[in-house]
Amino acid sequence: MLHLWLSGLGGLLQARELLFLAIGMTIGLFFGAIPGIGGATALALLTPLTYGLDPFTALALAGGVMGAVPMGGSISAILLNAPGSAPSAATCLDGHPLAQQGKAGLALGAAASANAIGGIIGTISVLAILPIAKDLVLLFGPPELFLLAVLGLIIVATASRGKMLRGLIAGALGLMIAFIGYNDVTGVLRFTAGIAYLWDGVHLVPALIGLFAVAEMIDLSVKGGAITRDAKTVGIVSVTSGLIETFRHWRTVLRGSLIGTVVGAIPGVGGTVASFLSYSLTVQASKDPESFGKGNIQGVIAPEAAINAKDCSCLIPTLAFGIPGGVEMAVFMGLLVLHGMQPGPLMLIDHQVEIYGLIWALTGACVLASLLGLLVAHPLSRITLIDSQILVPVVTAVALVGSYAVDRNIGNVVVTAVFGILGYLMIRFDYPRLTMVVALVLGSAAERNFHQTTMMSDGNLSIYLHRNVCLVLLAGIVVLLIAPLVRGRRK
Amino acid sequence: MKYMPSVALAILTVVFLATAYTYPSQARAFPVAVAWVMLFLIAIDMLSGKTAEDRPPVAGQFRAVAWLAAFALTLVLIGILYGVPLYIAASLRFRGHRSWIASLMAAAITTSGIWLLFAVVLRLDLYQGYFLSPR
Amino acid sequence: MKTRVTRRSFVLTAGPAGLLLAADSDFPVRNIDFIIPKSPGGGFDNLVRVIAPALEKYLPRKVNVVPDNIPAGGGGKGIGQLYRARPDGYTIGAVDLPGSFILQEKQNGAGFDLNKITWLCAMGQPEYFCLAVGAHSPLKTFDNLKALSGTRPIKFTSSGPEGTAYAATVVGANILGLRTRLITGYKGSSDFVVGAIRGDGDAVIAPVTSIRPLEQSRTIRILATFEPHGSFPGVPDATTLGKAELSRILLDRLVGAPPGLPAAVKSTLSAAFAKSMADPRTVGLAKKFDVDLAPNSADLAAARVRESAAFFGQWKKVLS
Repeated sequence: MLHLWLSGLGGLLQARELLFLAIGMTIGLFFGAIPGIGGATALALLTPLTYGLDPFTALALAGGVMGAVPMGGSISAILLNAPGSAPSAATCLDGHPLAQQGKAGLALGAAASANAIGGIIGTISVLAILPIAKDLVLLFGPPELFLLAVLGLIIVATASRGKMLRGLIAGALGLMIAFIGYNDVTGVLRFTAGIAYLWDGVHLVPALIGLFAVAEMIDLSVKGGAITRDAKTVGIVSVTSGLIETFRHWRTVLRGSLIGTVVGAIPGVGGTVASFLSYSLTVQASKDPESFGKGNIQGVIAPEAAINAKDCSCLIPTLAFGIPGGVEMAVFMGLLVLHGMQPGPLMLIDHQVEIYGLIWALTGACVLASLLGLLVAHPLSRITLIDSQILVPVVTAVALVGSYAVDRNIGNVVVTAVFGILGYLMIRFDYPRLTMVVALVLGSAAERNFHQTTMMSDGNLSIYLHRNVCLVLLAGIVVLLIAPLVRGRRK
Repeated sequence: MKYMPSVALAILTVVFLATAYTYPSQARAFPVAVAWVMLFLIAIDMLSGKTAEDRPPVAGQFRAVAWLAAFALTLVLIGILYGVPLYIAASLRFRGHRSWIASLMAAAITTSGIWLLFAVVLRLDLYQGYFLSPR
Repeated sequence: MKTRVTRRSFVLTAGPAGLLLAADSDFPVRNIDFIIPKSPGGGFDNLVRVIAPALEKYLPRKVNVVPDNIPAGGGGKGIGQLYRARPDGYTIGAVDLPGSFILQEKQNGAGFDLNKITWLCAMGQPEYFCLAVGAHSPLKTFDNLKALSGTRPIKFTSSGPEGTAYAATVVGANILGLRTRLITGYKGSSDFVVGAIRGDGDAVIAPVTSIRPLEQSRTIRILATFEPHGSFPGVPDATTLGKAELSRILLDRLVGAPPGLPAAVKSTLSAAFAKSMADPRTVGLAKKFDVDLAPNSADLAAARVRESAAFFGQWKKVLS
């Protein structure tokens, strides 16, 4: 196996491949920072341009894009509360409050280093488990996926301590929104009010842009001033402090990376869940959970470590069985096909060197993008000093146009505006957006998997007790439900 | 005022629940369960009497929301290349009290940036608006 | 290519005749939207993305052909959008049959009529289906499956209730005399085939092209093929099973445009498609995932629609 790793690395360390890796990385970093664009659009744009390239070079370019997009997303999440992609929304929760305190550099430094380390840990994990990738994917069927969704919802609900009731209400609202659209199991259209746009449900990325970026802009225009009020605290020292904080909180990095790796490898779950789960578990594990959402640096480190770790492991279901973990992976599959590589078990046999080359490209781009992010952190953090009267209209305009650009649908603009208002009301009346987002992401999957499990077992719920992974997940659910009670008793 | 969000959520949930009951049993199972739980949670929340701590002026909030809604509507009706500069110029001039020249320049720069990125680099057809789209 | 707003505005004011004249003589002048009523990443989507670059190459002007995934409503939204688009050649779409007939029957407000769509070409030869189980399944032969069906319904994993795979499963099981229960809700063919491998259900009925790579990697075992003369050694086919009708269950992937497409635009698009299907690189790529891009015409595509409609008509009650 080592010779395959080295062959993959050797194939990448050629001048042409490195050049395309650098090009992909730059494009990914730039597009990742713009709300609504992200890796999927960048890859879709580049795919036709790879037509004449040989497969290895095309993969170097794609790896560059995919590895750098998260760092771009982190920059806009921290500075403007505008997640560049769905997984980056978790970084908004503590990253933007840090920017508001004049510590944008600290947050960016932590994000960049957590990104890089998370990516490296994710790579090592994936290299180790790739030979058993197929078996891993097959471990998670509808019963496991349903329990995983329940586990995810409970983790997130119990993380919003101090406002758990409002967290549960927000979660329930997220579930209600998740049920809008075509139901895959029954073929029934639900809650669409005759609007064709809603057949697909509420599109996630426009909703997140609204909930975070636009809501923040409304809040800023009401309060006035700039994102940060104290120019003196916006300094380069902070970036280095961010790096130090990441190493100080190595447990958080490790936890986030492992969560990202595991969740990314499960088909149909997606990267958004990985980053929010990592965040929520870090809150749970913290001795000071009330500080989260107000600028706790671990609230940046946790999701960032997960995001890049999941980028590598998302390849597992994509390459092993052609099941894309998200839109970006789906577009990536199109690129593979165009270069004569069909995702599936045979790909893991016939194109091993290319796959390892891709993994190295992803890692390299992730580390390089983080370094580049560190370099631009200080000048970029000055954005937080711009007056809201200028910043608000510009960011709002870019956010809404970016939302349209997700799939060239003007309905997205309406969704973003509506969720922007909703997000602002949630801030105003103290309903946590975290639980709503996770419920929105997991809701329809939870329902689908529950119904499929019921069909599999002819309605016999004991199926959950006869599968090993289900038993582990059930134990986790019980622990999570009991833990707050035990903690409360100890206090 | 303090119960407004709870009442609004409750109304929304009741409408959701009533709609859910019109679907076949398998399709309505989850939505109905979630809606009932939601109503229960809202009731507890109202009884707890919790209020928001921070109270920004209501007029300011309405204004901010109205600007956003107006911008979104403008985009839908006249498209991106007309809606964006109109919104930015108007926002800077009437909300930000900047001079006309500064407002128009900012509008021009932002719109050019958006056009360059989305239409030229990304080769996307920018939405032309309900009134200006070809029929 | 940028949208030429001023020009189109002029054309609109000149009236329909003016519109047709401008469309015919200049076509294409801007991006063409290629609707795919499936999620990204599946075989259907991959095939369109292989053909789209070739189409760009053979159109008379340099424009982008932009794949646009609209999977909502089991594909019904995408097909509805195709049907209602302006018939100017700038919106085309891929449609799979016979599943789309189920969608048409259910409508769900989509309101399209597949018989009125302007068909441009077929993407490859019609595909046969086959019946398979996971490699670890206790079912080793078709007779094992038949015997099991005698004791309880066979659980087949499948897409939602409006897909071609769903249609193939229901009809195929019916012809084979198997008692069935479907586990639906999987997002795409990769998903429900993996579901069968994992053991969510007992078996799966899926296109041969989806199953073959998995069979070659020994992840799946084929128990029967609906081909008239099987391409899998030792596996019973429609002829040996004595069920010739199985080979009428075919997956067809066609490309169409809205009703009323001007003849000149149709001719331009059909010609470009025909050349794309003959392009050596495109043919080679399609062959890699087992799709045979034989040359075909708009008339052939229309004929295939009629055959598929006849087949669906026969099984409408069972499928609805």
